[in-house]
Amino acid sequence: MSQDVHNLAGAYALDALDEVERLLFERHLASCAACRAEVDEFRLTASRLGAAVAVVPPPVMRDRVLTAVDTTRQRPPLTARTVPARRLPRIAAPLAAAAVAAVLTFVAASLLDAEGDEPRPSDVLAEVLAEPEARTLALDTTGEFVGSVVTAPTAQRAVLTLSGLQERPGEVYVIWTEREGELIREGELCAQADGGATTLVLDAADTVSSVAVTREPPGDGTAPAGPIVAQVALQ
Amino acid sequence: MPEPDPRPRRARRPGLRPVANEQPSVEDALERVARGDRAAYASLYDRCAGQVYGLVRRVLRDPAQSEEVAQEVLLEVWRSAPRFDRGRGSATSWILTLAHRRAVDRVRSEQASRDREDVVGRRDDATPGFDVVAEEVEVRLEHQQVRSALDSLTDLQREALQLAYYGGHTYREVAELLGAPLGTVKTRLRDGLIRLRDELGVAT
Repeated sequence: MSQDVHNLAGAYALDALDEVERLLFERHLASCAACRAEVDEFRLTASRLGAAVAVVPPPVMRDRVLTAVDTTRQRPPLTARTVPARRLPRIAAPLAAAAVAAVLTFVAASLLDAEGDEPRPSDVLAEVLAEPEARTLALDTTGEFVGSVVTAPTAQRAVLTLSGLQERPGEVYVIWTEREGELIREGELCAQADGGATTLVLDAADTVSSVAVTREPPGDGTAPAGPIVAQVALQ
Repeated sequence: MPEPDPRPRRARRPGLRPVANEQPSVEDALERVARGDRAAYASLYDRCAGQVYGLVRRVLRDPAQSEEVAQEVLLEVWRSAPRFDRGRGSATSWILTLAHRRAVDRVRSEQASRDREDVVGRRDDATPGFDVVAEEVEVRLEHQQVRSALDSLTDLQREALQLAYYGGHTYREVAELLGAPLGTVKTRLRDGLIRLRDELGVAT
């Protein structure tokens, strides 16, 4: 990243970066104490702007929220500042010869977690973006969330980023790739607590011709069991 | 008839409720919530629901959607309270950061399903309308302070900040809306926040 990366602290604290820049800036944050301190102060400042526009909420909200709280479990505290990227076992897809070599890395960086020292999700992204012909392709979505694929013809990997996924009871988002005519189930993604970005690294990206996201009940079917809610052609 | 206020510090308008001095801090309330205290949550709700709803509504405009998103945020405050880190800032800031992020995500998801140009136009009025139904003394004071702090900024700083924060725009959209170069907008957002931070006396 260029010299003026520190300049992004303002836009970052105001949630005014797009997803890719946000991930890259979080990577920078992990190694820049001055920017972390500045972001903390900017967030405090921005929240004053927020508090200044308080209005009386609809009274019915209170009952709804308190009722929901009664049946909602709390998250465990974060035990460590760093949440390591998890490697999930590849889901078996016997028909997919081309995808045998593909390894799926699941890296979920929530807003809260990513404020810590977690540079990994964006490392891959930075790697891909450093390629001369890197491009960002926006997913065509039904509007439930936004997403993009960052890819480069010379890069081994591509990075899928989804943001603003809604939590839906009994349903997950399943990522599919089309590789040499076969539809491959790449894995499931869930909404992040804070609506933050969920990132999926796709290996052997040169074999991927398109990426699609369906919404369906959890499972391990080799064919989509729910509607396609987003897709993009890579080639 | 409102009772006369013996303290001459600030004019109090009829119908405004006084702010209790004995309330525990929002941090203390949140820390009790983090231990699963539902009564503490109810009192935290009463302290911050107006801020959450107000901010979400400012960004989203639509009352029904704002209600939905504000509820999500407030429930998330309950769920994630054990993860609040007092060392990183105030509880209010933590809650409003969550609220802003959710509101912005909703705006951008919506946007994804539409023609981008249409949408940029839709939220072009990001002036923080001071037409809010602020009933609490606290809110009105906050309001005045923030307004006068905003007045100390240059026009470009102020417009860029308002479009980004209240309008939920990315800085690229802000640049487009203001017809200013990207680099300038980036810089104005940052130096505008520095100015605002100093004007408001914000310190971690």
